[in-house]
Amino acid sequence: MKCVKKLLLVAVFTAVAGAAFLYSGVYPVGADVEHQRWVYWLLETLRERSIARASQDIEVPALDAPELLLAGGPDYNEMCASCHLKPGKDNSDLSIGLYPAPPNLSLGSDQGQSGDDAQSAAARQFWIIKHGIKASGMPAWGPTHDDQRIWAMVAFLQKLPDLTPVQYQILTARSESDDHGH
Amino acid sequence: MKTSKNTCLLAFPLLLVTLWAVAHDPSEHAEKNVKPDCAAMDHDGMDNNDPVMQAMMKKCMSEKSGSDDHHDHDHDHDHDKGQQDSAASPRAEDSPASDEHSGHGDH
Repeated sequence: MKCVKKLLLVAVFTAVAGAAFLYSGVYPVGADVEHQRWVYWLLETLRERSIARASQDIEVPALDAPELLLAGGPDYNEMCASCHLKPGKDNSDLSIGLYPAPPNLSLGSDQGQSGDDAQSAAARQFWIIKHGIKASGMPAWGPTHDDQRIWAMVAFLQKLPDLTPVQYQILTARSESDDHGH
Repeated sequence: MKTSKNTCLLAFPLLLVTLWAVAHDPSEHAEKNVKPDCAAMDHDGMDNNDPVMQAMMKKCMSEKSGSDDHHDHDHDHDHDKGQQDSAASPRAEDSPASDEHSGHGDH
């Protein structure tokens, strides 16, 4: 009985201390002040586990068709490159200013980050593009873009790390003749 | 009077909702009419089975045929215009404009 009382006391104290911290406003939320390492770890683990769980049942279609690259390239250039960069561009105002910093997808570092195979990496990218990530600056493109269009972007992402700036320019140029469905 | 006031009150938010929907059209962020720099494409060591190469070839071929069509269309348009001019003026063949038109066929 004494032990239960102690546990209850600790729980109440923790709740009150947590509420006091929350309402005090002392935690810095500016994007130019980094999280404490343990806070970053908590948020990153929460994010990665959530994405892995949500994307585990997504079936990845064939992504090798050149048509997918031609459809996904211009969308990537217009919707993603300002934050996630492109061959020949190491940073931008957005990539520097956002926190957490958006991964440079032209380097391919994001794809092997969680140690997953290519299929689960593609499923992960599809889920992130479609649903976005809360409080990270990554929007959900699902409400305005259908799955086929998002898969085309995923197909383009698979090739992006190996593209030269010239190849990137050719694949992402959107001329008036490409205006199908836009 | 009261009905028209209510209608206005209802119509204004509906208009805002409509504008919001238009603002989120995917084409909003499209940068159109950027020409692919096909002249800079490196053909050395090109693997025809590589989807990237296939996509680039497809893009540049469609761009080339598109510009050819456009050129032909312009040429046809000029040719038609020339015929119209000839029909309108039997002496048009003697004019400098006619020389320019025949020179266009050398391109």
